Amino acid sequence: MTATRDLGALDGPVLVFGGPYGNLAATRAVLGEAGRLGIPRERIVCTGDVVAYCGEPAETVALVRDSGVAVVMGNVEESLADDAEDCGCGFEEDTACARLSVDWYAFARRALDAEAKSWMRALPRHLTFSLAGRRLAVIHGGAVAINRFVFPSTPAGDKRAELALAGADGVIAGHSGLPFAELLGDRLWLNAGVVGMPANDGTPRGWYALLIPRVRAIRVAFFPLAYDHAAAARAMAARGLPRDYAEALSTGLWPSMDVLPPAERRARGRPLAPVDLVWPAARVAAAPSLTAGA
Amino acid sequence: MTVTQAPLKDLPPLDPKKFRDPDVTAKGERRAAVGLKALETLWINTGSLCNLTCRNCYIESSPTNDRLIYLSAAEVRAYLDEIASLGLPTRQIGFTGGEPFMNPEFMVMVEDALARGFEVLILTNAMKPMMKRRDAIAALARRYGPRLVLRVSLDHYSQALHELERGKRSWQPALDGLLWLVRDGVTVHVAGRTFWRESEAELRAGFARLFREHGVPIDAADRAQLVLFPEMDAAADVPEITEACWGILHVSPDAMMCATSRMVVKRKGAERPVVLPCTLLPYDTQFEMGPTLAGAQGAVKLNHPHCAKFCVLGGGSCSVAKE
Repeated sequence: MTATRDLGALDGPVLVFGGPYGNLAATRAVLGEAGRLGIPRERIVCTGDVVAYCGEPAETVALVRDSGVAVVMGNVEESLADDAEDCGCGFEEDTACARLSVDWYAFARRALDAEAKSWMRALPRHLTFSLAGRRLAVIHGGAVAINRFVFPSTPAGDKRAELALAGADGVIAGHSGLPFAELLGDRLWLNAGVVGMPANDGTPRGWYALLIPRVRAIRVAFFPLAYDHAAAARAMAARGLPRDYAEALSTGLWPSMDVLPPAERRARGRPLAPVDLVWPAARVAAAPSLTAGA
Repeated sequence: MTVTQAPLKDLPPLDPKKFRDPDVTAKGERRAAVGLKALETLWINTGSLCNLTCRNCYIESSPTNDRLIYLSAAEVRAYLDEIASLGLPTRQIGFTGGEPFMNPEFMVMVEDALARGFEVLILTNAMKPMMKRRDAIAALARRYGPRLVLRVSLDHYSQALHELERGKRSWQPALDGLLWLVRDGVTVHVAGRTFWRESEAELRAGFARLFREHGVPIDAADRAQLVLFPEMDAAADVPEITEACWGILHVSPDAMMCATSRMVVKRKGAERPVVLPCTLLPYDTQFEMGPTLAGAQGAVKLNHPHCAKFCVLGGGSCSVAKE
């Protein structure tokens, strides 16, 4: 296992996506978007959980691995690499999540060969890079706890503590499956969302984000991902996986909200809008000059 | 805040002490003002409705935003009459929106302006609303030649990046519209944007390839024919512009848009149109200059963050770029 891998200083737009979840069609679609936008693999980052609910874990691992994009280890990768008995989400026993996860996890554990599991074992727990003078850390859940859920409603103090632990100006996290960005003073918390499952917003769309460097700021822009979700659902049915998550691919509603705090439960079924946020550089102390604005 | 609650324009939070008093800055210095040197361009905002919802549209145009309602041809004619009666040196009428071609009386306004000898510049996305008026546009172009210019918004020379800003399936109709204008002999310009970590030279080279490939007679090196709007960086805080700034920055107040332009809008619920100093502040009522051009000759106090960010520091305006 590698603790941290540094991608160095990146000098162009960065595409971030999370949660391929064994959803081959969605993973193909997001990599296709990167290709259309001319973003090379050196500037593509995946926040982990390459495998989860969907029907094509081995194919998805092969696609992500062969694409050469940077991947941070998710809790599913950690569990599968250890050949553990469960997915490591930390669900309480007897919750809907726990019951549902038994099926897909056992299936994925059988479907993946030793090579796929050793690739997972070698994934870094943290990725770092710099962009427009800012240091970013990519983690899966929390900076230390790989399966910590950080949601939009998670208190700002908790996010600040995670940022401090990560030692970065900005954190890019995954795991919670909901896209959001939040400025905490001049620091950024970003979850790019996931491509392999909808965002519980009542639409079948997955989400990814672009970090676009500007002169004195980074533009964080979220984009919905349209893909052939019917094909992904068919693949799940063909492998005999439970119908709950297959149906979620088209309804856009999660079958289980066990992990969701009240605010996120209330937001269920409300379509997300693709929005932008500008993450400014640290306060400019000097007098403005024309070159700075040009 | 979450994605669903994070409009770009509210970030970052501006120092609330700034841009309050129209005459004095937060530091107690005299705020800069820009006098009207000559009304060279009168902008007509035909209405804020648009067939597209682009990311970061500065005027938030969309199929549902009708905060600026459709002007009528008669209302526009009254302003053209006033230019004549006051003897103003106006040479150009610019039409913007929204998408101007969605205004049901738009072609009448354009013809009125051309018939009176003005240059006419129309900002359009060249999509379906424009294509519905193709016969009328072609007829005006034959009659008035290059006095009629349509400036087509192509945010980028690649389909992928154009559609990133303007939405899926927005590229081909815009390109088709542009090429139709070209084939029918309409004078076209293009407006693009710098937003993808490309230098201006790379952008102009990319547009030059596109124009060459499709036979578009635009010189991509010409800053009027290919207008590139600079990325407007949101600094952590925007400085206020004082009278001392002109000297410090070596910028002339006469180069600001509000030294040579005004814009007419009509707000939803209003009885008549109102004159504003520029195209960038359509919704802030403190900048209203009254219903007539005669009353809109006074100086503009730069009491809005846009004045600093877009104009004084950013060099952006909707004016035709001049060498």
